[in-house]
Amino acid sequence: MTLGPILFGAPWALAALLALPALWWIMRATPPPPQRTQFPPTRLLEGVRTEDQSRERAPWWLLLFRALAAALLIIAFARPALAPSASESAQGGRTLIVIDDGWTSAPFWADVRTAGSAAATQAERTGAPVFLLLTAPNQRARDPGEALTAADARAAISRLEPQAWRPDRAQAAERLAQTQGRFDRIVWITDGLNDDGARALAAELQQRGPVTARLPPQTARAIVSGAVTSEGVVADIRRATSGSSIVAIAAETSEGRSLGAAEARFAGDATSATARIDLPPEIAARAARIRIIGEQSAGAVKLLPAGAGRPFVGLVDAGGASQPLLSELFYADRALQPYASLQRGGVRELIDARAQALILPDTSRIAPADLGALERWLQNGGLLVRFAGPRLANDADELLPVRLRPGSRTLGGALAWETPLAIAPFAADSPFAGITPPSDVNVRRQVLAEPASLEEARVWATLSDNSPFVTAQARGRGLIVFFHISATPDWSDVPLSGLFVEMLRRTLAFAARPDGAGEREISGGPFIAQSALDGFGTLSAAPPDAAPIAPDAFALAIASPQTPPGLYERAGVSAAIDAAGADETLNPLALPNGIGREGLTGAIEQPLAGWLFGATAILLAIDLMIALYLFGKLPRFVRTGAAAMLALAVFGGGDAHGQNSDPTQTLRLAYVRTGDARVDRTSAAGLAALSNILTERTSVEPGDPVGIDLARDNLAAYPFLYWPAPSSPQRLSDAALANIDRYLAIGGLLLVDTRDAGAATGRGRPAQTMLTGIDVPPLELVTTEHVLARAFYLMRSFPGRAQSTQLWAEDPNAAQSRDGVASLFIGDGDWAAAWAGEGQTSGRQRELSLRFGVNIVMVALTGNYKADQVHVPALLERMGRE
Amino acid sequence: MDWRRSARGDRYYVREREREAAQTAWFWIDSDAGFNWTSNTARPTKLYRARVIALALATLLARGGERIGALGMQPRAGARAVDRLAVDLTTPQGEFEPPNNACIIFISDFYAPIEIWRQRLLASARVGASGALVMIADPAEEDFPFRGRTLFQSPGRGGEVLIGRAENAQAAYVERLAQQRRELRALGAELGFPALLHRTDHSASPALSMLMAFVSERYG
Repeated sequence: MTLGPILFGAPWALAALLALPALWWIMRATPPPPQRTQFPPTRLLEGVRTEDQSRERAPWWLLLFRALAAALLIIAFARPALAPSASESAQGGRTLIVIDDGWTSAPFWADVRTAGSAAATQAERTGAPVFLLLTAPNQRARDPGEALTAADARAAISRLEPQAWRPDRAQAAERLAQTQGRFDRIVWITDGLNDDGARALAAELQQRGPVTARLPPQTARAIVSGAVTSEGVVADIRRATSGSSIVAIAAETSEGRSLGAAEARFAGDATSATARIDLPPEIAARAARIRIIGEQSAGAVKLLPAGAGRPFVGLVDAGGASQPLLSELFYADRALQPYASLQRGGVRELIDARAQALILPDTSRIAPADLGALERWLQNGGLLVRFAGPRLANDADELLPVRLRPGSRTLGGALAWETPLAIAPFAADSPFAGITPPSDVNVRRQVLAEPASLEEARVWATLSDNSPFVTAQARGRGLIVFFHISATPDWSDVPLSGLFVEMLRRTLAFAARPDGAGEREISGGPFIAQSALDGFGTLSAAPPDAAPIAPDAFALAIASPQTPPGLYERAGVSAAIDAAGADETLNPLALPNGIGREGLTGAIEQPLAGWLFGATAILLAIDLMIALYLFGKLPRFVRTGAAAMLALAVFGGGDAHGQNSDPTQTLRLAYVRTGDARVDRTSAAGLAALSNILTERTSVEPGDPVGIDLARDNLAAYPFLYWPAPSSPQRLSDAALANIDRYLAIGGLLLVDTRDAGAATGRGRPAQTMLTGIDVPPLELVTTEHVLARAFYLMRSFPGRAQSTQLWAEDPNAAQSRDGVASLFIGDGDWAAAWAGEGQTSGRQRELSLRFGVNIVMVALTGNYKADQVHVPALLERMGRE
Repeated sequence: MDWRRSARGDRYYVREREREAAQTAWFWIDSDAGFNWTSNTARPTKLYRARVIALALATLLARGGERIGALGMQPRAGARAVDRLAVDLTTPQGEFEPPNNACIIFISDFYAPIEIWRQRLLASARVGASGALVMIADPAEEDFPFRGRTLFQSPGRGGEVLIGRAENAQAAYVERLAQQRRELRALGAELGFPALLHRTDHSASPALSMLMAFVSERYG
């Protein structure tokens, strides 16, 4: 049912509006609840009658308000929707929804979905079947002849994802042609771009019923080519004339971090533009893909397979990877990492992987079998970089630019006249020209070339005595470069210097670069998918069922269900299939006359029920407030709330500044609350007395002692923790054990007092129960040699409530990690009682026990600082002697 | 015979002493829940005002050397007596055994049925006590500013009265209140307890000076 632009999904619910007058009457008849008030002389009112009680009624405006809320609720249940074009498109019937679901629709996919489900919803009103035709090819294509209910169609559309390739409309037209029947309505949600099959599909659709095309406001754009150059990253972007004219691109690493961005503008009606992101080469080399910013589609991503723009360098490593830091290749590896794709392996393996350059250190022998392959590879344009070493010095082979004199030349050795030599400035015609060799880089040992053989080779660098340092020789289209030093720092400082990096980079410039980096080869094994692009241009791991692609197919592959776009790898070499090929054409869709055109985003029904339910809820909330007000509760309610919040603020704030203040602000001695009230009182009194003594006699000025709960409190703020045994010790909870272990580990000092000095032995030692589960380190008896005996006062014994006590401390060897400072002291002196002056302790004994307390706090605060005093007599004696 | 004086000379002296009997003033403050009530939290409750008046009067009397005490507790004299009284007054005073010949200050709202007060005052008067009645009233209790459908609840007691239109009940209420007070005044005048009315929105000093006048009149 429609009412102007409003359309009701359940019009029968409106019948409930008829009940409104009855509701009005009922609400009028019910008086509001009385306001309650406290009134002491209520007794005096007893028997007072006012005869006009029945006339007391709800005020008319409240009635109107409630009636309005009820009416809104009823209308909301009728499921109204605002549909400006409801009158014409509401006539449903058999509906065919055609969706272009290629990457070209991905940038506006949310709108595509909305338009699709709106079309299905319109069909729902008449209960007619809905058919769905997806134009992009799929391995499991949906049958357009399958009749769906509107709800199923909506569900299917909401699950729909764009494909990473473009629609094939000719094929879609064929699939549609195999179905029967006419449609009352055809909605074609298109990407707005033309292709070869567009005309065929349009003709087929027009035969089958009235067609409305939904066109996006701006069509998709694509990066058709991209490359890493010496100046940075360059990309060509293409658009249809209906696409947006300003474009920004960003280069990303393989992890998705942005390296840089640039903007380009399509001039006038131009359909292509070039953007360049200026980046230093070592950063540009890390670019793994280029992306159009703000456009999420597979075509807006250009993959740069590893090695595109970076030479692929093989490090010939005969299995010496067990000790990477001692490997000869360590320095070359580190130097080249930013500039090249590196791979280690055997000679054959690397050549097969199509390494553009090989670095051959001294220890790697060239097997005779590899020699032929290596020479062929050199002839075809390989770059071989070799380093000298002890082995080569004695056993030179053929693959060198020069003939070597047997043995190496040691410069600056014990038996040599020469001093280590610096590197001469590079000649103007050397590839290294322009680099200034640092003066502090010296060569201590090198291999020497036969002077006669230098005729055939080119000398790229010499030492300061003119002896060749780097030589090179062409072999076929390839090149051998020989460093007359070893690749490790034992012959020279070169591998440790920046010079090494620069020289290797200049050398790699000679690495053969095939035309177009990352070009696909026609021979060799199949390409295996590594990662795949989805329609939105997100790269994820390739599906496990992705089929390998034969090289000849790969060379010509464009994005399709059989060859999905993504990164592929063959023998360690990456290659990519992009969603948008270099010859991607993007033209606006040409629609024949007779097809209706509508924007993609307009003319969509707006359901109003949600708004009406919301409005009803607000009205009911207001009604509640009014009722509270009439009830007389509102002011008090509000006042109570305000008072509660004020109280919270005051007390909350007060609390924060009061007792729970930051425990790190003042030093406080802590004791463990054992749950035995008498022991806890004694602990508090004892530590308070000790705190006073500390304040009087030392520069330690502790605050009030604090009792802590082992299971709950954070102990980290208390340097000294006193733990007296309660009269009946209990095992600790796991949380408390963990807390104590952590406290001991971070260097807190825990004094465990078993309080049984002088007591008869035999009844279970309390320490046993208390310490069960704690990781107790090895202990030693504290003697006068211990730092505790000299930390402040010099002491010979440590009396507590009893005269003779035993005190054990953590063994310094066990406390190695804390510089030998003991964390755990266990004694039996009942010191807190002595400090507090309880029991029959004499004045002298109390004084000594307080001195012990001062000492142990000093140990807690200064560690073994005073242990150095052991040496004071010796030091004084020595000073006196001098 | 004043021997001490007489021994100094030849003449005999006789010492005459005057009996100094300090009077005791007793205070009784209503401990009903309805008494500790105010219609507006910005104003003190009736109980609070009652204590203020009691302590002020006690201070004046103690300065004059009289003994003061909360009815049912120990009376005291001297500087600390007022402090002691302040403490004693915080404990609720229930029914009591009236002391002989005492001066008793009853401070209440006197909303309890007149019969209860007749018994209390008769019991006091029988043993020769007299004093004053201080009627403390909240302005809301005087003016009855309620409108509309209202449920009146007596604090603490649990009595409830539902009035359909409170504004129409005002006249009846005011009449009943005046009746209660008339009866009380008559009762008080008969038994030697003059009554005075004090509203908590007024200053306490006029009530205090009137009360002082009553008490000093009694002491003569």
